[in-house]
Amino acid sequence: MTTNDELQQQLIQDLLIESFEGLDRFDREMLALEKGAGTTDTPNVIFRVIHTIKGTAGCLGLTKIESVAHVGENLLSALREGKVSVSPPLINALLAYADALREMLRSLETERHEGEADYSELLRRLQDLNCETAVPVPSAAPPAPAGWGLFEEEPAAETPVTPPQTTVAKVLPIMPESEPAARTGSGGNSANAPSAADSAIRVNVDQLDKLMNLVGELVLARNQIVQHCGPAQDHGLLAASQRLNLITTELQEGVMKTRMQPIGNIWAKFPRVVRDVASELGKEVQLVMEGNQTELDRTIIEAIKDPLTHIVRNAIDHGIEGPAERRAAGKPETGMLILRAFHEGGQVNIEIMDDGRGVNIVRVKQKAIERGLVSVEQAGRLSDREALNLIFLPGFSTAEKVTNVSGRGVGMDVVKTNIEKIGGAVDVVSDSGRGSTVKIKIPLTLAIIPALIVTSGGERFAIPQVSLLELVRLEDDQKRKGIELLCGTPVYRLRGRLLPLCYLNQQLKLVPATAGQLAADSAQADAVNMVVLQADGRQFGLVVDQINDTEEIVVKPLGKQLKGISCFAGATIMGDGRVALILDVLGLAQHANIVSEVRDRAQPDKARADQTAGDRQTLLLFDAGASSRMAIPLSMVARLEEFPRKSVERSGDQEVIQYRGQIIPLIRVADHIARVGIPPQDLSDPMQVVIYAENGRSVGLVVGRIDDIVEEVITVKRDSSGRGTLGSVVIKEKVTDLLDVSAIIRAADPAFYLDHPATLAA
Amino acid sequence: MLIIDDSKAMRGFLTYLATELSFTTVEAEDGRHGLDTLIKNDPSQPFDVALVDWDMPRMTGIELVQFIRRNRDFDAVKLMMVTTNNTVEKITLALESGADDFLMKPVTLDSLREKLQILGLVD
Repeated sequence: MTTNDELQQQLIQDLLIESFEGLDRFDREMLALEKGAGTTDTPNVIFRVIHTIKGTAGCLGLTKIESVAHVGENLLSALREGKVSVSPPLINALLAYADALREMLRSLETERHEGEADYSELLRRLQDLNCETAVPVPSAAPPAPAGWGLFEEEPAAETPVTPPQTTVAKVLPIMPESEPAARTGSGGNSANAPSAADSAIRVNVDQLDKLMNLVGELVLARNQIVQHCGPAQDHGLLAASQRLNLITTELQEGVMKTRMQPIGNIWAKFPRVVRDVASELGKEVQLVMEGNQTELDRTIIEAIKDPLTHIVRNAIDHGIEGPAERRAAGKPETGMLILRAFHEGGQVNIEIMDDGRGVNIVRVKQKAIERGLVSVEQAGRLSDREALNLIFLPGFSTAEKVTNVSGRGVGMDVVKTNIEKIGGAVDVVSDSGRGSTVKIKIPLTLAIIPALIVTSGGERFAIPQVSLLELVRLEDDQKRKGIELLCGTPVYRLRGRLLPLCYLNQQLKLVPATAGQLAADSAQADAVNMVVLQADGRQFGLVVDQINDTEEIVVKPLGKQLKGISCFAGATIMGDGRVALILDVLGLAQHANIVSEVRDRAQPDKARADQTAGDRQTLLLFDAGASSRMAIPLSMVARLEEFPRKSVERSGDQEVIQYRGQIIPLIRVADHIARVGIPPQDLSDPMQVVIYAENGRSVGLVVGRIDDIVEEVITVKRDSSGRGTLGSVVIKEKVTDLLDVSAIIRAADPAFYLDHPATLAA
Repeated sequence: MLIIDDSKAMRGFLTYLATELSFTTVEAEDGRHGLDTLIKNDPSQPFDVALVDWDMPRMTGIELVQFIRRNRDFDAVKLMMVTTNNTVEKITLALESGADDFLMKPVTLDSLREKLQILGLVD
């Protein structure tokens, strides 16, 4: 008498899905009960979840789950009948109990048995709670005589449930009551109980995936037919193809919709996560969720589940302060954690906001240096935003000690990788003392995307619409004036901003040509077609031969031969049946050296030191006013300005100048590098000033004369020849000193770095 | 009474008969649905008896009976196979799997009443 194995497996699968969902609901209702926000139905909902798990487990011969579930069921039954009152120990025990069930189910899922864990102590706790037959306390029931009639004898007055202990987090999910109206009935013996089964069915996900693939193929076939019918004269055929076109589009949308799930499905577990994490850390956190009806493709929902959990844990662990610290900072003791999701421009935005202490940028830099993720020099050069993004580097963690809560081996780098894997982007904004926000942008779906088709070198390429900003076409005059060469890189001045250009032909070596030839070629061509793209927050122009049309394309993964090439994200089949490659904008930008690969910085310092020999750097060359020529990396320069000498004013013993509504200190470089015996020369009028900005503060470095900007492979000789310099290099056959900007600023204006001990320590 | 049959017409007919015998009924459209309905049922109002069709998609009547009988909580629920399979072999299989009795198709009000009487559910 064996039961069909396949059926058993299938039932176990269903049990797992249903039970995990049920346990999430269980948690949610428990927390409502704890807050005193439960309704008359709450104890029933909780009971039913466990009852179902127990019943199914029993039928599947899962005796351990069944017996554990049984003990809880008894307690919940007593709770439902008002024989047991809600109390913090009860809530805690029941939540632990739900976790125990989860543990066994998970073990069943991964290891195909119920696990070895011993729950006898937990079960004893539950039994004890059941035994102490307390005076029946009405659960926080708003006067609602309807329902199961279990509370009829009880006073209708609103008696709040015992409030939780103070350290327990207050969790207030502001969710519209989204639970479908199903299962409000008892589900019992009433003759025609309308069940959820009438309006909704469970469909195997594989089935949906298969449908989705088929629709993808259909879209391709549709494109082909529509293209072939274009020149056709047959009206009947034209009409039919148009109809096919419309129906396919609708079908595609319909099938996509079936795969959509509200993000609330994964948020449902956050109230519990927040409660647990907060109470573990002795913090008070209020969770607010907005837009939990925002829908996403299920593959994406799956993919962002863990990253989101990690961010939420992080926000509570590192972001939100303890009650005492918050009080001291003049904030309410209860921290706020806000989850928001909304659609925008065909993408889904998710924001996780906290009103905690914000990210300490100085400490981030310090850590990054300690861990060898960036060099001291690099750290000094980073803008606040760039510095914030250091937390996404592998091997980074700001926690002073690895806490139980967020130190679980996965860092923000995993979060970033996972989100980028699905074509999303993640960004952090932090306001020191007032909190931080993690912003995630993800596509709605991965399967079919709108894309711009371009032609270059006779080949067609698809560019995902999400990274597309605008199209620019330059003709004759515009072209000659617009495109300039800056350090050998062609750039275009788009509305006053310099846009680095990248020629697709050249990047993909479609036409064997050097940069010079290309420039010449494009000079001969009638016009330059430019696609303005965005990658990693940086914009650049991609020059292509021809811009075609936008199309919905079905993304097909690349074969493994092409997978390693960063320039391509995938392939698609065009209307005429030919294959077009989909460009990976970020990969392309990195390939063209427009966006640096951030991951490079992740290499330890030692490796970098070896590399510096071969590093190309763009340097600003200037005459310091003293004898020798000096250089500083161009990346440290905010602007080059000229000031008349008379505009110099004094503040204390410091020379200052008014610049864009700010007072910035002036530092005469010559004073700081003067060598013995060579008096500083008189300065020219107007003065040449290099504006150097860091952490939102600026200083002006007064130099003699700006010479040139060069891109050089530099090998720094570490033996510094004089104060204020890092060392000497040979540039264009002349010895050039590398200026130690931070040392000079420190010497002239110690206050500049005062807020930034990290850089000082360097 | 829980009526598990993949034919809507058959369910309707059995419901009609059961109502005649003053039973309250719940219908389920196949074995899986039947199992779910049984499991999710409120234990304070248990089913007295389930009529189980032999041949159903997703989970056959025999499989359903086997699953139900593995859970001791449902011992009190009488299971009656509704079948045209009248070979001794099949009936033995049904009874061995845990069915309490079987009901031959075509079902009539009298045959149903008779079987329910045997199970002690009708006077």
